[in-house]
Amino acid sequence: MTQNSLWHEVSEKEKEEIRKESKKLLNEFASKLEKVKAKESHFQREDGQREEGDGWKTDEEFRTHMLNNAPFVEDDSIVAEKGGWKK
Amino acid sequence: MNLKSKAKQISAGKLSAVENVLAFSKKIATPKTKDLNIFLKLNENAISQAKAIDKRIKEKGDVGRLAGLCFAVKSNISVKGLETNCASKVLEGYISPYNATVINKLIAEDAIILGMLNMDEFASGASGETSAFGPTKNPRNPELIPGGSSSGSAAAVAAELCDFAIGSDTGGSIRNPASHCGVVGLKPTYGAVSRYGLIDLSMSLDCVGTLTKSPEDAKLIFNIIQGQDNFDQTTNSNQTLDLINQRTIGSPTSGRGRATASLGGESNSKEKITKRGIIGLVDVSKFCDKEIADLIKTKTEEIAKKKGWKIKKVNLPLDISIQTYYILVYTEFFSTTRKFEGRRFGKKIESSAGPEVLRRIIGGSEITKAEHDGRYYKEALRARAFIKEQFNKLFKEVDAIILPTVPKTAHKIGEAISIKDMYNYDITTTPASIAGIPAISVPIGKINEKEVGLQINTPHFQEELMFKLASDF
Repeated sequence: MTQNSLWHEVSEKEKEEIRKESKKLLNEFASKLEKVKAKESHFQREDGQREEGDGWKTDEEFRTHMLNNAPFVEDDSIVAEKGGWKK
Repeated sequence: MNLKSKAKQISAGKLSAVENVLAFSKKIATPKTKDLNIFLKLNENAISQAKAIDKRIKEKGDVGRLAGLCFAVKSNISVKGLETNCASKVLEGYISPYNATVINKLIAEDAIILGMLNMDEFASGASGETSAFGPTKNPRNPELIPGGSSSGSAAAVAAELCDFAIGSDTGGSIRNPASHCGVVGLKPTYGAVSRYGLIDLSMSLDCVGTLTKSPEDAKLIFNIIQGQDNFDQTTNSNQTLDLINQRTIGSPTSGRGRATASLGGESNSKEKITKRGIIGLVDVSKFCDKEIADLIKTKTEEIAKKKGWKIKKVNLPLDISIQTYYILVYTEFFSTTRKFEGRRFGKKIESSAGPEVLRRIIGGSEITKAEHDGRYYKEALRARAFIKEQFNKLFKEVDAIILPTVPKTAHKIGEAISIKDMYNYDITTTPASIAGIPAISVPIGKINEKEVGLQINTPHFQEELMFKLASDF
């Protein structure tokens, strides 16, 4: 399927098409990777662990920006309704 | 004039920082430039910051190595007090409360931020078209895509709207637009530059890098932004390079971290550990437009003859790289976007993002389901180990690898293209990303009036050799 890449709002119907399309593509990719013969590996650093120091200190501006960025604020707190993100 | 010379002029009072800011601001404000849709937000304090630098210069005070130079920032890198919106409606209006480490380092050297740049939404794209605030246009030809995802960063440098720009590269997001816009794009070794403050796309692949007019400028900026950072545990002090003094800081292990510059010609490096003088030229015939492959080959042969290198034809698992890359990205992007639930900042991502971002989130949620344990991501991790091994083998035979940055020239903005074809734009840039090695794209010519970039890969932390080779082109 060809389409342009320009941004647009996505309808529920289009989301469903995207779901099917992406699953198909990822299955195709994964089936090719199955044939690759290699062991999963992890990078282990020999040294270079950080020194803890004093850590990062926030300032008054940080607090102001965080509160201004929040959609709902009451007095000095961000209102995060339980389960609100599910809506 | 290169950045070092310009900074010297400013420090010597021959050009003021205010004049520099004003010259760029004037250009940014023209209707022709605005139409390119490069900047999303401007820094209103740039002039006052420039005045403070000029005052210090006048009073003979200490100034940084980048005093008065102006730069612009991709909108996924946090700049305190500026809108860091990732070119998405999800983060529209989000003001960063802190600076990314790279920003702190550049400000410490007295560079001035001009503003925040357009990009593909959440760095998800290779064309510069997926921004929720409209596509960026290519300054070389506004009908064409500038490439992505650091579209604004490459376009700003190409249009001469700043001295340099900062971008991020996950699978080619700096190198790809650099190639389409005819500028130099640097993706450093993974872990050489702190990612603290970068709104991530894929944490195991993301790198912060530069877009400049020349490899020399890239080297100057890289030397300032690289180094260990306590806020990013993937950075490592033992591998920190001091490129200006051409030596290694700390105690390099396994030969990594050594400044290397010995491929033919003269070298001012104290250490010469690479003696082969052999360049690997990747066979891209199955994956790349013939004209591009021919141009890369011709240019490489031309420089090799001049510099006395030998060329060895080599192979890389390019198709496996693209398949591995997208599974890693879909999985890691789905994971990182769980914080965009619209409670503490911004809007819920599933309700406000565009199609490409949703494709990655929806696809990522499918393949990370418990029932798929052991498939997809783990297969990609195994393939990643395989790709790294291929590079390790190659670097035993050659000093550096050359291949095209992008397999096709830029298409027209809005042109219909399949998802697979769009992803294939990344086919020559993803191998270096997966292996975590440094890569640079340099402009080498045009095909049908469209810019073409040549890419150089070197082993981990051998940026010095890469800059040396890049400047030969």
